[in-house]
Amino acid sequence: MGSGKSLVCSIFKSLDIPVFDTDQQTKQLYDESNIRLKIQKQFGKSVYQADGKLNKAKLAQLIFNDPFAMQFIRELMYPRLHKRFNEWAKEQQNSQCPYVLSEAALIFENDFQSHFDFTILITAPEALRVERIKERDKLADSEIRQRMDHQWPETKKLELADFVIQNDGKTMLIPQVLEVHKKLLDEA
Amino acid sequence: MVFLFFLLLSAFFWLLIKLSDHYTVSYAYPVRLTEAPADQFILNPETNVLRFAISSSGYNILRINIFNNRKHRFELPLNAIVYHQINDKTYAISTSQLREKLSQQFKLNETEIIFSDNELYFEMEKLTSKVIPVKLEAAIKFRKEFDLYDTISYHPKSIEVFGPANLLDSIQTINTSPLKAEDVYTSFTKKLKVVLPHQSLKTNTSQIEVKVDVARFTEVQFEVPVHSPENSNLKLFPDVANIYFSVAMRDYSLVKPDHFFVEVDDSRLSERPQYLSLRLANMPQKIKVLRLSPEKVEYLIVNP
Repeated sequence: MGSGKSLVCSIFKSLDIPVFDTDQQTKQLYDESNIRLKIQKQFGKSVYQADGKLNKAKLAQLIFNDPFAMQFIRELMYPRLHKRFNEWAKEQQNSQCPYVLSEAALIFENDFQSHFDFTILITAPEALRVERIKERDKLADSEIRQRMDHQWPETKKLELADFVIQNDGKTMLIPQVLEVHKKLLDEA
Repeated sequence: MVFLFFLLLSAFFWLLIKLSDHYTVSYAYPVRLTEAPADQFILNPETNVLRFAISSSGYNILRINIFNNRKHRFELPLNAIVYHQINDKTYAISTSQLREKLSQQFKLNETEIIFSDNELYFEMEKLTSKVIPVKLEAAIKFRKEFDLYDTISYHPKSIEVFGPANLLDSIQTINTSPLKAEDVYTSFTKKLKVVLPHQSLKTNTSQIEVKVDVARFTEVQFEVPVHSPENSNLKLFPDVANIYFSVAMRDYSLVKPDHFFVEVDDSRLSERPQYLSLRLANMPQKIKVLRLSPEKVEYLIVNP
């Protein structure tokens, strides 16, 4: 959260690398009727608004406070997201792109790294991440901390990642992205 | 003892007899001329001396000497007396018109006052005038979240000042008395005195009306696209920026993200800088920009 995944992905996109937007896909899944019914059955109808849209704040409050609720959402959403990603990745094969990216959070925490050939960790100092989340999501410090508690420490993720991009506001991003891009092209 | 008593009694009667006699005593009181016409200036307004004699009983003379300070200065406001011009600069005041004033002051009959001179002379010079801008001296501290809605307005913005030409030439602004206020959270109007920097200067405008329009401000953040110059083939990272600004609550609903235009400064692009700075090319008038985030962006030059 707040590490700058979207910004880094936008640089990859400018290099004509397709990026699977997990956030966008998740939003679409939440709007699907069968998913909505399952979530409402589990958490009550009020998790969705009158217009049928997900009440994100309410669901976040539920899952970040209850490990079982979190587990329920993971089991409900992740297989579907993975399936969507695979379908999307197949579609990209026709576009002659050398590789594809998936922009996603909590890859290591959910042990999903094995689903990918390589992983790129976008990392930033915690204070900077908190600042960015505050700026973007208008969340209180306590809410941000609560969500960040579900993430592993950066040091642990650094050990597992194949590539690391520093987005600390001081180190330039584009040269780092080009470096990773070059290595991925070599591997492709 | 009896001898002493009669000695004192006889001295007392002697004093009464002496005081009932008639005496003539001369006096000289300094005069201060004031209230010259707005377009004129009194040269040496305190050099005149009013000389007169009082011809009255010893009782009156004693009373005057005891109860009137000889160093007393007569104030003569020119707007309250008659004077006439003798020549270019010289004017004269007929002392006879001061007789009533003196008789009232000394509680005497007018006939008991004899002036040494028939006229008092003084010099007045025509002043030049200059319209000078007024400079407001303001030190206002606002309550938290409150601030000036606009600049402090005041009227008149400039005043006509009369004075010697060489003095007027050296004056560029005229200050007001200081406007000091603390913990301000409502609009107010106040009249401030004009402070003339020299006593020989005059003005017909003695007060400046000041209006302080105060508003409650709130901080707002907008995310807006960052524009690159046309045909520049620049790809910016990020291509959006956050503008943090404060706006008066009354204007809050009037300000929209599309009122802002953020663009990259590509003036140094030929030098291939690592980053391009952002600048706010357009924004609504009634806001105060607090910051732009980020202040600079990375970029790629892409093929058209």
